[in-house]
Amino acid sequence: MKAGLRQSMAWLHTWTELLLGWLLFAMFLTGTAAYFNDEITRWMQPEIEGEADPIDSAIGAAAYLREKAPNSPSWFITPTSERQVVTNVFWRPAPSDEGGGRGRSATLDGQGTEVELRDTRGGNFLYRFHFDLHYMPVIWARYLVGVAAMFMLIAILSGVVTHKKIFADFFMLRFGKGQRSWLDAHNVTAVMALPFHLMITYTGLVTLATLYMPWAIAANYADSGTYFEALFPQDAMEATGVAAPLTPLRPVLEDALSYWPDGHLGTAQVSNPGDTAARIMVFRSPGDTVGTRAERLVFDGVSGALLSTPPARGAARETESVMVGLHAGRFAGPALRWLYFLSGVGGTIMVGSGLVLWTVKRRQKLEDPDRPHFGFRLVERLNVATVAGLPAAVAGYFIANWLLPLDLEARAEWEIHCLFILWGASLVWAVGRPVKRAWVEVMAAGACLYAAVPLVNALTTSRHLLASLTKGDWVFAGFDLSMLFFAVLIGLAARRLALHRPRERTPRVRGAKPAEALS
Amino acid sequence: MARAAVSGRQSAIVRWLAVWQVILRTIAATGGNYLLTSLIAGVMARLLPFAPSEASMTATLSCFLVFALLAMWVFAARSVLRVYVLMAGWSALLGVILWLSLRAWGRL
Repeated sequence: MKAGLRQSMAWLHTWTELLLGWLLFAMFLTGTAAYFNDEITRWMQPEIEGEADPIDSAIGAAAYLREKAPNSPSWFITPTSERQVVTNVFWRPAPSDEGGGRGRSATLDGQGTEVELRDTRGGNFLYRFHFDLHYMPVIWARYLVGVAAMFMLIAILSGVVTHKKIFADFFMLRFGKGQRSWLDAHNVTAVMALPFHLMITYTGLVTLATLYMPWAIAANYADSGTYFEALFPQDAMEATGVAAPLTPLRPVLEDALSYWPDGHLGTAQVSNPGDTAARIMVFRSPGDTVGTRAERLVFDGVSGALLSTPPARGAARETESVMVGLHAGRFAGPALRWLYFLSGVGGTIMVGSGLVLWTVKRRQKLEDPDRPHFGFRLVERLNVATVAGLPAAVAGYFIANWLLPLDLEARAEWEIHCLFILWGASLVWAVGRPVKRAWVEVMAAGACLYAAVPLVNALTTSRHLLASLTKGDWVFAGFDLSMLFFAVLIGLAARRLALHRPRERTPRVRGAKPAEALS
Repeated sequence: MARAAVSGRQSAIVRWLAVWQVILRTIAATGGNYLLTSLIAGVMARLLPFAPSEASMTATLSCFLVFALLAMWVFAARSVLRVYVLMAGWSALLGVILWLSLRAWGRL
């Protein structure tokens, strides 16, 4: 620590990364998958396909809700969109309703008919796991994730200081050179996407900023409710108890769309339907703008008149909105979405290679490298289970979606259990096997699982790869092809590792030829 | 023989000191840092010449950079003592400013 800034930064970088590296790896992996949240959900619910007009879907959904929840204080309707083939509705039950409190939800088709889809959390599980984790209270998960993200930010900034020569190193990729290659893999994935990593980490913290740092608001507002009320005026009114028919939805939605040229319909919220105090809040689709705090129009629910337009935002608010939007990437079209995804894959590899680097570096310094101490072995095994095991477990989640019986009780939860059972199994395997064998075997298993995903799809549904390719169904084809891509990628990595012979510890190095190493 | 024992004890002390260095710096980089960052954010929210909601948001958005840079400084600083003295000093100063501004004009 006395030895200069760079050394102390290197020390900080290494330890912060290791301490939360496993969690960060899982966050990066599931967060990356979440860029295709909607597409994954569509793939996991193959029963429904086709397109439906968003306005028609919203009107159908309102009819469904009028039937199902006429006394509800509020309905939320998220109609079909370019990325979503179903309409999701959510409503708060009336206080008098049986069962009370908890909100209800349903999935509807374009006509507002409830559809029978397999019970799954789809891509949404991966999205929520990214910051809510699982099997633990959400609030603790979010604090934990926040600590990890802060460590990541410090690791990135101290990493920049550590790797001052980073741009020189960049042009000297050394494959097949043991530790040097791991370091290069770590540096290259880190540098190539450094702006992305910095952006994604910082904006990630911003998404939950008021949870982590409530004090700036507390300094100006005695009650944080006042602050949020100033930011997001509710506009909903107390129900009067006097019945009045809800205005037809179509003119209201068409009005809203004419307010946003080239805009799309996001969620529509109806408060106090069937009451004289009814209000319809129409949100613009989050896919329309980078900023994620979607613009909102408020309409009178009885007359259908436009009551208020989105208030102008201050610069800081706008900045926050754009930061959160950049993180979630909901505005991204297909090309940019793939770029997000690939950057995320790069980030996942960066964290994974950093974890491996930690052990590779230390193994050489061990007093007896063949019999490492407990802490070292623990890190090594956890690395196998995380870096090789988690990706395999995610493939298992997809397969479970096709293979679990459709009438299974708590089916959606069981899909998730399957993921964690597989993940746990990879840890058991990693503990029970020699470490190098464990790497190869868990990775090989992962490659097989990824290869099995399109196969199981072909065997259990009619929407297999050939069918979707000929139909031009790019969501299904893209999903299956991505699975095959990951199968090949992980398989090649496993093969390389299996064929790798550590060099003898002799002064004369029989270095691998670059060409041979690249193959 | 005796010499080796002395140097052995010396290196034990050095190692012990190094461990304490890390523990003290870790405490400063986490708990102390969070306190100081919160105070910086609070004072920014009070004193920035924007509307209150904008000032609060600006402070909230910047505080993560402040926290990260402070954490790096804690581990890069020459001595632990210096870290603690400076952190305590700045926290006290900002605490007084925050308190005075809260006394001068209240919260919304």
